[in-house]
Amino acid sequence: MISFEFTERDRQLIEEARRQAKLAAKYARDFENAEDSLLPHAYPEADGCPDVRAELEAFVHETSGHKIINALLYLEDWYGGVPLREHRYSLGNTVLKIAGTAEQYDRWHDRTIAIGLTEPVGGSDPASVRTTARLDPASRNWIINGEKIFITYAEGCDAVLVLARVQHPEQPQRLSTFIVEKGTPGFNVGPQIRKMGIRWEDTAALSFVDCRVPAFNHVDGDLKKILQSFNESRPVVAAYALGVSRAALDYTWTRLRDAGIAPDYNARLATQPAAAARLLALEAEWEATWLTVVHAKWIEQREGPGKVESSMAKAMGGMLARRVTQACIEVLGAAGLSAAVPLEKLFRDARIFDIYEGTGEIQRLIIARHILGYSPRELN
Amino acid sequence: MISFELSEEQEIARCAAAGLARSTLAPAARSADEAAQIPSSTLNEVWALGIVQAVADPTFPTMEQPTVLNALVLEELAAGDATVAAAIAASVGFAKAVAEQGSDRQRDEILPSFASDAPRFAAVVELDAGLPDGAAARTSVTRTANGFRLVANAIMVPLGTECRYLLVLAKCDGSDEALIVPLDTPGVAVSQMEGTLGLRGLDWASVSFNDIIVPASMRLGEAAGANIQRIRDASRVALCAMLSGLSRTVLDFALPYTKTRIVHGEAIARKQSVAFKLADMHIALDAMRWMGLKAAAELDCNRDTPRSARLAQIYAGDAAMRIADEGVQLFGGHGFVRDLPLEMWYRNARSLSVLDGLVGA
Repeated sequence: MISFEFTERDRQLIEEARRQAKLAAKYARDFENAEDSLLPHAYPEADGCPDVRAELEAFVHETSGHKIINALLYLEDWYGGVPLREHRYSLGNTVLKIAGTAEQYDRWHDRTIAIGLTEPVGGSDPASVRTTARLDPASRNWIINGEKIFITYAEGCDAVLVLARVQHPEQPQRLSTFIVEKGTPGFNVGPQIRKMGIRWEDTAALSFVDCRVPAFNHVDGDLKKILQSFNESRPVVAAYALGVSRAALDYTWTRLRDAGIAPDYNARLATQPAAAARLLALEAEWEATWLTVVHAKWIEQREGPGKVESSMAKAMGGMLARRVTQACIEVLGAAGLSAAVPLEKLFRDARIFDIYEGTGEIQRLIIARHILGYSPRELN
Repeated sequence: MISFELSEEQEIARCAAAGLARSTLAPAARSADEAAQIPSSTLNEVWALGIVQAVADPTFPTMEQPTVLNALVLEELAAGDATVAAAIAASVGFAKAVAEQGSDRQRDEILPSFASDAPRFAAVVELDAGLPDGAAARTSVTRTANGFRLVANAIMVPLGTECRYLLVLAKCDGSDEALIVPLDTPGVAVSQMEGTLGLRGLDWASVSFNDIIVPASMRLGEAAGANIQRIRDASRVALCAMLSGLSRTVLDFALPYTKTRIVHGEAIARKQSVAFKLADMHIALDAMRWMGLKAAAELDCNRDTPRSARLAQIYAGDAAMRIADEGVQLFGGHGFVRDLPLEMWYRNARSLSVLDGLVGA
């Protein structure tokens, strides 16, 4: 039977996450002019607040499911701007889980593993990576050379899972992944990148110059397995977009209410203020996106991550955040431009969601290939 | 507990409606549009699915989620022909309001004729629904000693010549009222319309209430009154469902065409500008379906649903218009000619997406 009713536990966790997001909101701007600082593991207000992730684990059988509720908890983190407690969603860990051996998983599962995919010449087309991993036959070490850019958790992570082109004397050229730990000679992290938004996020470039890692660090993940990890993370990115968009909509409605304009779910287009009509249309898109995110996660809970549903959620979320934050400033006019109000930051932050972890265009390629029955070669 | 899984009962009903839509409704849609009339044989066949009877017949076994089931069925019917779906949805809207919120006497008097084997039609109309000017001045609903005096004009009433009852939603002394008006009441004049943009088979009429008295016994729920918002919300769920069905038909029709239409040596589906449009249509279609079903499920657990129902209608109205619009565009000149259904779907999408009231789920 279809149902969109939260369980008691769902509601309690989400409400608690919202309460904590509001506590964290006062720190949201701390990184605007301090991009080199890293997010603390927890803000002082976290003392005495329950850890909602831990509670989700403990009471998961009383919820609508771990995947759904976890995504909705991320929505709440982004509603506040910065998380009260840091919860890293690191794709390197997901690939390790999918592709690593039991020994590799044991060694690194409790570490933060960033993912090293994007290169200066290859973002949307990761098959074009130029980073190489050459096997040194004498030592059985892999020697990694190359450069990665836009790497999330670059500074704060313990290790990075790098996608590289394998150069092996007896094997054909192929892509595979290697874990490079911090402190490995030849592995350097560049300065924090100057970004339009999400300035609290730790983002930098990585360079590898004759960087040697032991054979044990070869996690046999290929591009396919990395892209598979995206199927889990893309709806979560859409949940981020829902959080930022919710914050923008809530703020804009508050200001409109001050001016005597409130949502009227019965008023026709011709008989309501244009601002209210505009916002209701965006609320409708917000609801539509919420459903695609929850649907994707529901499928993931039952049968593993769905590639197409995951891309649908991501495409919706990316576009939602762009449209909502652009429109909210337009509706409030110049009053929305000041750094004294949240909209200008939400507007800058929101623009990343349609870009990272696969642009909206990449998502549409995936969806279109599916509905048309085309291979990547037939539609690219 | 969140779940997107349909029950077996819902799947069975959906499949039955889909079968009829494919075998009967879709092939007859064009001729009904041209003739501006749904043949009575078609109405008989769709009536035999028992959708209205299930609402009107108190002996019918109660379903777990009747609104969800009706939304699924209306979506399938609209995938065949939105006109026929709307005719059924209009009677569902009326009969359900009476079944759920009518007094015992109103149910006993009105519902049996909707539970029979012969199609019987009715609709829900909201007065003052259109533009702000003029209409309000012409409309007047006032209380009398034992009822309501009604001077008003309802534009766009479906199946004008067949319609037996209207459930008139109107404001009186600042509060919402729902009044049951048999169309053979003296002072009610039904006039057939000249023709309409879309859903033409519905044989549209306008109805004027020339200073009629609606007795208190015909106020929905009598002394207890009724929850008018619930009637509106059910209407929005039905519209969203039908817009979803119509949109799905457009997309299903366009997909194979774009793969066989060769331009500059290549199928147009292999060009990103076309493929991305199709992807966007697919995303919006899925989202609008779930929005309507969410509002339906909430109605079924008696939650307040003005937000979810209205947002579903807004999203579906906008997305379905866009999908039908792109459907025409993908076919180029073939989209514009009446040999193919694209232009009819385009007119129907504009029509369905501006309706409010009239129907229910």
